[in-house]
Amino acid sequence: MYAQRNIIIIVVTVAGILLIRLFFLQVIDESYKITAANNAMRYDVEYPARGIIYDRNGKILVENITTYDIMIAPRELKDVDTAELCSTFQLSVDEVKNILKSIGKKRDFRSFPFLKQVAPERYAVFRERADRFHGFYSVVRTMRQYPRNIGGNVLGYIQEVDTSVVNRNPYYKSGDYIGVSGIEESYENVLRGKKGVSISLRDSRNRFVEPFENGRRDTAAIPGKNLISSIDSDLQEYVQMLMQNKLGSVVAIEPSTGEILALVSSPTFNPAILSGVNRQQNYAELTLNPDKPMFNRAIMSPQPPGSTFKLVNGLIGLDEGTLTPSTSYSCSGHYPYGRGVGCHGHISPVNFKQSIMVSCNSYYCYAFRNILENKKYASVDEALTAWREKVMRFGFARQLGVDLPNEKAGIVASKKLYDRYYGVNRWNPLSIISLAIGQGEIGATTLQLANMASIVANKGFYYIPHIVKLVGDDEQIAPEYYQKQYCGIDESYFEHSIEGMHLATTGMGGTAWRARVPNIDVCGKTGTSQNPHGKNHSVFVCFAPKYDPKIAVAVLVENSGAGGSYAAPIASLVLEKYLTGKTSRTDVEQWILNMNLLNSSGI
Amino acid sequence: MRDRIEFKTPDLLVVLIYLVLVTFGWLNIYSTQSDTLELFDFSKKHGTQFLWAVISIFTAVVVMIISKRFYPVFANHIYIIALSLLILTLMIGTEVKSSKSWLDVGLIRFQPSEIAKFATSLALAKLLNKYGFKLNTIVNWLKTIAVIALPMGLILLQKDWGSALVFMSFILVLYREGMSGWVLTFMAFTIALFIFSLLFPLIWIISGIALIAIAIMWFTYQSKKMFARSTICAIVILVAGIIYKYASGNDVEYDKFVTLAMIAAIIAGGVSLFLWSKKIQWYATVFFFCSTMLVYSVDYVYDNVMKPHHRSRIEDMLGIKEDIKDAGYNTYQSKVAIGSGGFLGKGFLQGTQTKLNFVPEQSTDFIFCTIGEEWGFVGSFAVIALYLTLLIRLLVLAERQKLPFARTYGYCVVSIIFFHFAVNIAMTVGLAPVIGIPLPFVSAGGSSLWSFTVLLFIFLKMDSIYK
Repeated sequence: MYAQRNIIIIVVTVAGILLIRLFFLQVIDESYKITAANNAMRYDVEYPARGIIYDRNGKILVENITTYDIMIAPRELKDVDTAELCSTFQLSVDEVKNILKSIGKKRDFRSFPFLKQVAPERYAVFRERADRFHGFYSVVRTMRQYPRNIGGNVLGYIQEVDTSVVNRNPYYKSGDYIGVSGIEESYENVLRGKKGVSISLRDSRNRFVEPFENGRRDTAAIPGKNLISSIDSDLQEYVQMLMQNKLGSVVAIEPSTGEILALVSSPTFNPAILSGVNRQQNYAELTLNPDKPMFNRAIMSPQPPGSTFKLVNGLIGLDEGTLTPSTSYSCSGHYPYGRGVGCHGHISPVNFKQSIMVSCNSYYCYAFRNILENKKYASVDEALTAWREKVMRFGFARQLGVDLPNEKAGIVASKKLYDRYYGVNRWNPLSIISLAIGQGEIGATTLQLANMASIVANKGFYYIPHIVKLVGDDEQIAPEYYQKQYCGIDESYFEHSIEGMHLATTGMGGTAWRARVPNIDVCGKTGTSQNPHGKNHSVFVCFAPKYDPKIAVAVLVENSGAGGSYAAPIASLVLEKYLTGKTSRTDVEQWILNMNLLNSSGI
Repeated sequence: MRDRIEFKTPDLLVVLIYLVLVTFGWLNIYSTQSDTLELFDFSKKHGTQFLWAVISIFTAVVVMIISKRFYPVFANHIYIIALSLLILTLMIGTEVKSSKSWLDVGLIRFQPSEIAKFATSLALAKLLNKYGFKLNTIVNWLKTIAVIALPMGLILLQKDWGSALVFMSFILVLYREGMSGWVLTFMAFTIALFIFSLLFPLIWIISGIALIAIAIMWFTYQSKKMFARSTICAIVILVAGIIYKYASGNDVEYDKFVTLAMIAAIIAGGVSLFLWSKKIQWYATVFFFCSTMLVYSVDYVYDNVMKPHHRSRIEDMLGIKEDIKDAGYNTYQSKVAIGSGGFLGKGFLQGTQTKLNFVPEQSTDFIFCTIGEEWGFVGSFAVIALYLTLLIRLLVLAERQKLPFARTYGYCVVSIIFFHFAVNIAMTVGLAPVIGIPLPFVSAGGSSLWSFTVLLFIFLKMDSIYK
């Protein structure tokens, strides 16, 4: 009998546990009652249209188009007429069968996409015949469209948010789109607008029951604001064309405002391919491409500026007083101290202007050594630190603050770096002499070089480069973009640099003769960025016209040799196109267009 | 069968509870079918349930009329038919939600595993009450286990875990028929250890086991000196472990040290055991080793034997992973529904959670949600009270049987109903992992209602004759 007793004890105990649990669940704990109320309410999100991006002349760079996803609710599917589907969506019988087969087994209450991003014309046909397709319905989607297919690196793209974004930012819910890279990322908050919500009572299968409180709590979606970019889309397109089949980047800035007129990283990509149906496949192809089309070289790839950096060293020398416009040095083809620095054949001796014209290495080795050994400073360390601060005011070794994501700061060697590299007190001006000619422990982005050209053009100041002019119709962007940034060097010194740059394009023996443009006074400086991994990069900075400059350009063509070779003609074509709308030197243009430098890396 | 029709009044209390549960179940099924006002719409769940209730009550009457001798005599035949149906299901069955447990016969569709429950009960009752049969030889044990394991295995092959587990409840019957209570204790302890080792760090569990083992030794050692010897051994090793940890800075797994310490203590004690042999101390030793092995094997079983969805259900139940979307969705919505009912409930037909279909399987396995939501704690209490009364009454009836066959069968009925009742409600309130088994007499589902009716009324028939 005690077995019966024990079993009764077990039964009663279990019943008791269940009752206690129920008592807590139903009587004590209030949280489930609140959850139940939320459960039955459905928040339907209204998605605002994303802002349109125009160029500086009002031409559309990015707009939205409406497409339709055709969905299938498997449980409502009946009498599928394959032939009808084929003719409606212009698919082959096999394609339709494959799609249906993949969905066929699923028998739950969710819907599955049958066909994504159907064009409006096809959708119209579907609508007409809708009564013949049981279980098919459509969902509206908006997609980005690019009328000119240019500026992939500048505009960026949008994609569905991933979980890390959702976890970080409560605004985004799974399935929302977010701008990735380019303007789409940096102006995400402006472009996206604000989602609206309508609350209704629904059952668990999302079937509508009634609006919650007659819609009093609903909010309307606020459309995203349009942007007016400073990009000149004609120029951008032209530059992209010139840079075809070349690795490198081009940045063109309007010196008087800091507005970026064109920003090209080559190879680039057509932004439209990251918006369409084959997005994933295209994305994978882009990431696998060894030339990294999605990598924005113009702001993310610092390279030694080469001789273009002589402009900065010259100006600092003048400012420090260790150099005067009339200082002359003779050059016998190399700088004879320390490990020595080679130069090339040119007139000798050269004064300041001529040193820019012929890009004399020896001249700047003297100049740089004088800066570092200036008696004003207690030690070389101190002189280097002072020099570095001045360099930074030219916009080097720090982010300029352009309104594009992932801008790289670049580097300029510091005392700390040399102390680590050589050891404290184990280095002297001669061991770091390569800085004189912009080589060695120094790296600048093409944007920074264009900005340097702007500073020279403006004789001492710049505006932070920016790619968006206006938000909406008249709303300004952040205030720092409208403030003059001075580089701290007296205006009068710039005259000499500008003269030197002008001579470089026009003078006898000027290194930038390939940038000579009829009827335009071009001021330019060539550079060769030494590349330990292969052939040197060709660099060129310039602005024009000499008086009242309208455009400053920096060009870097990877693995193409000296600065005068390719970078200079490309830059001159760019500024001529911008200033006159024409090209006078069609032979040069043809030569550049046909030039393929992709496989000449010389590795 | 030449006997005249022998209908005697069955136990009225049980019949009354049965009718109340069936009616109450039907009302709640009706309530889940929110979008209809039609009382007997046979395309809806409550319509078919009504039909099945009528069929079941008719079957109950037939069961009451059939001769008293039929069941003991034909127990094995019924059992074999049930096994054949299970095999047939494996071959031509219909797959519903990844379990191949349904048999389609023209108009109706039923689960042979439901029939197997009362068929096995009959066979088990017959086997245990054979002349001279006692649960004390290995052969008899094997026979008994075979009777239970055969249908259970076949149902497992259908991948219907829930129904298969029901057969474990026969352990209560075996307990009544002479199985040692230690087996029950052992099982309960195993389950507890399994759950604990998923919930708590290993070191706690091992220390807990060690403490119990020490307690057993303490109360049974004759010589305190010997106990001290063991304890010193244990402490030395523990201290060595701690010193090693701080000296070497390595991460030490404490559970390994506690295990080692206990083993040392037991060996030290074991030497003494040879001198003063005492059985209970062996128990302590065996207890410690078995438990420790079990704890260490939990991880293996858990990670390698169980399927991911089983794991996630268990993790959800134990609150290891709060997961209200996938594995935990059912339980979470079910708790929300029941919890939102409050003390008095939202009232008949007023439940939003079950009505708006948030709770899955709401008319079948999760019918208790509707009860909890619409009838509140009062309703839940009433239902549990009804089951409790039913089970205790059946136990009383079983004990008063003159025929041992009837008594054993009575215990089978109690075990099966108890298991269903306890596990079903426990899973809706999040105390047990979700295994799909219905609430007897209440859940929608024809073959389930019919089979429970037959199961119950066979016993009531025997009771009405043999009391």
